[in-house]
Amino acid sequence: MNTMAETRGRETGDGGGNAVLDAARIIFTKTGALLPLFVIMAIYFSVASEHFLSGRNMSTIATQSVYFTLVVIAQAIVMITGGFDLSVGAALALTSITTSSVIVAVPGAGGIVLATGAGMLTGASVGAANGLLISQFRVSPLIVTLGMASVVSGLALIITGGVPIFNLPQLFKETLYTGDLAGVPVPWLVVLLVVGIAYIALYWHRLGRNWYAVGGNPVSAHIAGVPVKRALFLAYLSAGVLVGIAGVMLTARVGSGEPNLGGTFALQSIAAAVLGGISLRGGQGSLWGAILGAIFLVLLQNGLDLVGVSSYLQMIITGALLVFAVIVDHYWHKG
Amino acid sequence: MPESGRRRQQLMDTILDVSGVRKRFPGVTALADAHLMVRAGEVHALVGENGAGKSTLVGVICGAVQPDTGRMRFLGEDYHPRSPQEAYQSGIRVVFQHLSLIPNLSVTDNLFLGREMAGALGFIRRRDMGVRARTLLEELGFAHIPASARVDTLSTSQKYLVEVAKAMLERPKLIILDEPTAALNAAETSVLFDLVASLKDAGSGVIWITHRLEELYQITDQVTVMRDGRFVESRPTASLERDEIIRLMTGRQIADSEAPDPAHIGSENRLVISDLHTAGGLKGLSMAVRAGEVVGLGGLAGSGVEEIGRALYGLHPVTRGEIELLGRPFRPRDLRPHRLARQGIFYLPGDRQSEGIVDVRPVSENATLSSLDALGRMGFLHRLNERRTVADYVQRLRVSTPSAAQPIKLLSGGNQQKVLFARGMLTEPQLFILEEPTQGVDVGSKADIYAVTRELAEAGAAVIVISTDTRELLTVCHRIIAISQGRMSREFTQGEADEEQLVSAYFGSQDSREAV
Repeated sequence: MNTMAETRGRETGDGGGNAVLDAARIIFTKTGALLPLFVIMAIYFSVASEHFLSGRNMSTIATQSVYFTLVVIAQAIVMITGGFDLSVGAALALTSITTSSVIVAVPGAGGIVLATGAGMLTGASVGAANGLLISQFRVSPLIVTLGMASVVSGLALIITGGVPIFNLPQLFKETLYTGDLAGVPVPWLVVLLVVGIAYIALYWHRLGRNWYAVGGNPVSAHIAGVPVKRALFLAYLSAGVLVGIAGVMLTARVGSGEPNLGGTFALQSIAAAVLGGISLRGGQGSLWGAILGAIFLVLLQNGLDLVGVSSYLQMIITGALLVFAVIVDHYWHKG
Repeated sequence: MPESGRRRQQLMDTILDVSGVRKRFPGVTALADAHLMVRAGEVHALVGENGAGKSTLVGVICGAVQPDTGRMRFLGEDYHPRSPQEAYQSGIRVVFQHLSLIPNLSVTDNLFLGREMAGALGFIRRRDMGVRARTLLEELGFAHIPASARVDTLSTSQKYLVEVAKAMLERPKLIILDEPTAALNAAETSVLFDLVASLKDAGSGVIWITHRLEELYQITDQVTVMRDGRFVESRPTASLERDEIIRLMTGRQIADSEAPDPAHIGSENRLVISDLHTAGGLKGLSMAVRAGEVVGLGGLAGSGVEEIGRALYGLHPVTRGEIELLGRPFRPRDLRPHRLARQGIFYLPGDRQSEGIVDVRPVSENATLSSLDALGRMGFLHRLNERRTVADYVQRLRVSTPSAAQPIKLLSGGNQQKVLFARGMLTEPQLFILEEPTQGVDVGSKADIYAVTRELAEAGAAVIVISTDTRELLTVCHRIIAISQGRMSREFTQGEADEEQLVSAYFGSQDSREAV
C-alpha cells in the first residue's frame, strides 16, 4: 500500500523534450532552495560592492565557472548513480602534473595536443580505477575515492617532489585560456561542448537512463536487465575524463603544473551538486540543477572576495552550505 | 431496551469512533470524508481498492498523519494523537506490511526495542527479557520462532509474526493489522486467526485490512468499505455477498476472471528443468512449460517454491540440475538477468517495492527500462517514440496516473504492477516468470492483470505464475504444480483441483488437517 505521505507535489528533473522549458521548470521546482539564495546573494553583493555587477567581473565569473562547472558535472554524474567522488581534486592535480610534464618535454603545437591527451588519459585512469573498484569489488564509493584521493595526491607529489612545474610555453596559455574561436573564448567553448555531450548522454541515451535507474534502485535495475556494473564503471570513467579536461584547462590558466591544485574541489563540487538538487541518495536531480549550483558557488566566492571576506571564513561558509544543502535535500526528497 | 438505553449501550461498546475526517496532500485529496466505528471485541474489516484512503486513515488513527478536519473518539474520550508515540501510549498498535524490525538484532531485542527491561542504574535485564520473550511467543502460538535468533535468519512469515508479537507485548486496546496474511502460509494463518479470536474475547478491537475477500468471512464481524477517500458502507460481514463488496469497493461490477483457453497451448517447450537443486530449498525439481501455457507453482513457505523464479533468473544459486530456456541449455553461471532479459525472458519479482520499481523515477522510465535498446540506434533514445509507446501501454493496461512523467512511487500498488507488466511486455518475451503478480493489488487491477496474463499466453508466450494465493493459481493457470519439500508433490490440470486439495498437496499429504 502506498503511503499517502509521499504524495507531495514535486517534479523530477528528467530532462523533458525542450531544454529551455526544462531549465525553467527545474529552476522553479527542483532548485527551490537555490533560487531565493541566488536572489538574496545577488542583491547583497551588488549593494556591498560596486564591482560585482560590472561587465568585467561578470566575464571573470563566467571564466572561473568553467573549470568548476566541469568538475561539478563529473560529480553530478556519479552522484546520480548513487555514489560520489572525493578524488576529483587530487585527480585534477595529477592531471596538471602529467600535462605540464609532457608539454615541457615535447615542444611546439604537437606537444600541446599530446599534453592534452595525456591529461585526459590521467583523469580517465583515475576514474577507471575508481569505477573498477566500486563496480567489481563493491567497495563503498566513500572509501574507494577517499583512498584514491590520497594515492593520487601522493603520486603527484612524488613526480614533482612537491615543486610546481614552471616554464610552460606561452602558446599553451594562448590556445586554451586566452584563445578564442570566432570571438568566443576557448574555455567557454569547451564547457558548452561538455554540457552538450553530458545532456545527450543523460537524457537522450541509454547510458543516462541506466545511471538514473542504478542510482534510484540498483536491485530493481539489475533485475530489469540493466548492466549495473558497466553503468557504474562508465559513470566513474566519464567523471574521470571530465576532471581530466578540467585539469588541462586549469593548467593552461595558471601556467604551471601544480601538485596542490584543486584541494577543495571535492567538497565544493558535492556542495554545488547538492545545492543544485542532485540527491545524495542517487537517482534524482538534473544536469541543469548541477550547473546552476556550480555557478551559484562561484558567484558566492567571487562576491565574498569582493567584499573582503577572508578565505578562512569562506571555508566555514562553504562547509556550512554543504550541510544546509544536505538537510534541504533530505526534506526535498523525503520518503 | 428503550431506544436511549440501546444507544448508550452502543456508545459504551464503541472503542474507536472516527467521523468526517478529511486530509489533503498537495495535489491529492487522500481522505474526503472518512468514517469508522469499531466496537470492543469486534474484528472490523477495512476494505477498499489501493488509493481508497485506507492507509491514510490508518495513519490518522496511529498519529502519523494529522487530519485537516474531523473528529475522533477513543475509549469514550476525544482523541487527536499528534505522534505515533501518543497513539502507542493510548494503547493502539499497528502492524504494517512493511517490516520495521532491525535485522541484525535478535528476536528478543526487537520485541523490547525502546522498552527494554532495565534494573538499577539502567542496566538491561537480558535474562528476564529472554524469558519474557519466550513466554510471549509461546502464549501467542509462535513457539517455532526462537527468541534468541537474529531476525535476518528468519523467514518473511516468521518476521511478520515477530512484528505481531511486538504489538502484543502489552495487550493492545486496538490493533490494526495491514494485509496480515499476505506473507503467511496456511498453518501460520490459522495461528493468527486463533490469536485474533483471543483478542476479541478479551474485548480488544481489531482492524483487519485485506485484499483477500475470502478472509472476511472467516474472521471478521463487520466490514467498512472505502472508495476514493470516502466512507461507502459499513455492515455486518455475514450480510454482505462477495460480489456486493466488490461492487461497493470498485463502484462497478467485475466479472469473474475467465479461465485460460487450453486451445492455444503449443508443442514447443519454452522451459525444461530437470533435477534442479538450489542452495536451500529445491531438491530435485523437474518440470516443463510449453508455449502458450500458464503454469502455476505453489507451496508452503520454506518448500522451495519461492526459490524457483529467482534461481531461473540467476538471483539464487543453482547447485545442480539442467536448465533449458527457449530451447537452449543454460549453465548456472550463464543465468544472469542482463543476459536473460535480452533473450526474451521476463521476471517479475515478488517484492515490487524493493526489487521491481525504481521508485523516484517516472512511470515512463520505469516502463521502458528493459527495452531501451529497442528505442533507438546505438543506445540513443527516440524519445517521441518512447512517449507514444508508453502512452499506448498506459491506456491498454488501464494504468491510472495523471501523466507518464509522474514518479512511480506516487501510484497505487496495482498501477505500479501494471507498469512493471508494461516493462515486461515491451521486451516481447517468450517466457514470463511472474512472482506474486497481484500481491497488494486491488480487486479492479487484479482482474486487469489476470486478463493480461491470459492474453500473453494466447499470444504464444509461456507463463509461470508463482503465488501464495491458491485462488489465484486456480483462476489463471492451465496447470498447477504443487511443491513440497523441494520437489513436485502433485500436478493438477485446469479444473481438477479445489483450494483444499491444492493446500493438501502443499503439505504433501492427502489430508491437510493432519499435517497442520
